[in-house]
Amino acid sequence: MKNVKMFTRIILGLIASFFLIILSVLLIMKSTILNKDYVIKKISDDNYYDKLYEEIKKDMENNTLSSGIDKEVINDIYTEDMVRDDVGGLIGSIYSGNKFDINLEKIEGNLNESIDEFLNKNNLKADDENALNNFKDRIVNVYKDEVSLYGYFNNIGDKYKKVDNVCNILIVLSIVIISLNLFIIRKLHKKYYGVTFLSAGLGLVYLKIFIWEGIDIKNIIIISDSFSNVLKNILNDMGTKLLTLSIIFIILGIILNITSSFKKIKRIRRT
Amino acid sequence: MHKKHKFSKKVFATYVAISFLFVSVFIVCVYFGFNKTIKRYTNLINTVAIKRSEEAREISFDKVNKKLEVMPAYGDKYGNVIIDSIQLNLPLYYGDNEEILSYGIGHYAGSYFPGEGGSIILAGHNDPGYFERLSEVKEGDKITLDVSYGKFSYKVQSTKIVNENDLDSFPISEDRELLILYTCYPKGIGHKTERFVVYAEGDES
Repeated sequence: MKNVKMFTRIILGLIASFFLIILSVLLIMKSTILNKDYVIKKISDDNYYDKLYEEIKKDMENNTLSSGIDKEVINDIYTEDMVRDDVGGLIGSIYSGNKFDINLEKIEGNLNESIDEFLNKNNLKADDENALNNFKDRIVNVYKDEVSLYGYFNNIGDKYKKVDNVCNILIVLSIVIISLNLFIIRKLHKKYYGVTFLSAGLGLVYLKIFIWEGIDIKNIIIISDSFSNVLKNILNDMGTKLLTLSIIFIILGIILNITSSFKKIKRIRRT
Repeated sequence: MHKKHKFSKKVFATYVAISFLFVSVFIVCVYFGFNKTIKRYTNLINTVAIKRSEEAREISFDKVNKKLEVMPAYGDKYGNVIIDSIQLNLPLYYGDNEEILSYGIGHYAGSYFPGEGGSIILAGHNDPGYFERLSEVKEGDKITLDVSYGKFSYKVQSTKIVNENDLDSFPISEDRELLILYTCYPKGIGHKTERFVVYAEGDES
């Protein structure tokens, strides 16, 4: 009977510990990468819009080579506010599930005016209208591709809702199971609160090392430098939160283990 | 009778040991359950998404097997393209994206390297400081690729004008060292869809 009780405590403790680790990871994800306000703040803090504006400009300038058209034509055809609004719209569409299309009319209009001005100023004429239209399409598509991360934002949008729903279900399940363990069956299990928290804390440390140290996060580069910097900072932030939570669990676990380790000693007073 | 509480080191040690037991079970589950999946994704990221170091890689060429043992990193300058007949001497980079082509001549990453015995495809803009004068190259002209592991000479065999989507005009040969240089054609306003292509073969002289 004593062994059955001991075995039950161990199993319950193990289950509670696993689900505490899962709950911690999910809550960190919900408060970071799955949180729209957090992502927009990180983007803003990282000067993503400035950097993206410059990347678009550089890419457009590179596309003017071999075109016979000077790179000055791309000056001021788009603004940082346009970049900010379009990026904001795309990020919003990921979390809301609504589609967002980048409106390129203004950029096309500005580019047409700019090219006409350049050609007139230099007494040049486009002998091949198709070639000129191809050039304009390429320049405008640079803006669209860079802002939308080459369509990557749309792909993320499709997956986000599924991931978020799964996270919500797992969070509820984890809370229910942990509550069952820690509060309802507490008579059997109360002394193992410390074990649950200490093992969850150590498990989180292991997860952090296993995943984060496997990737050279500081040198990661995906799609563009500006996007990679934001991604790096978000991943580092998540890693820091994971480590902080693990330290809190470890300390709590040690304290609870210490308090659970006090044995009652009966002293019979001799009369 | 009164009750007193005494701290039991044995009990504390038991609880800590059980905690480590739980963590060990967790580590085993994660390792055997997810290790392959996580390693696959981390290896993929480390292979394709890790920035190259700022120092240019030291290239080494195996002369016996005619193969590069260590390739340049994508975006690295690894030599010069020299065509004396049109006074051309330009830096040669590995890779041919828009950014690399703004620096000089780009080497298509799907083709071979000089000395390997296969097709080498190089691209440059039809602009001053790039391949602006490429269309002046004639049959018999000498082209030299002066790269970090040696100098390789080629003689122009022919030139032609092709559509940018005509992939047959850019053959990837595995057993013949064919140097293919191309640029946009003709010069003018806009994005041109034709290419001026120069074909050259290894010159032993």
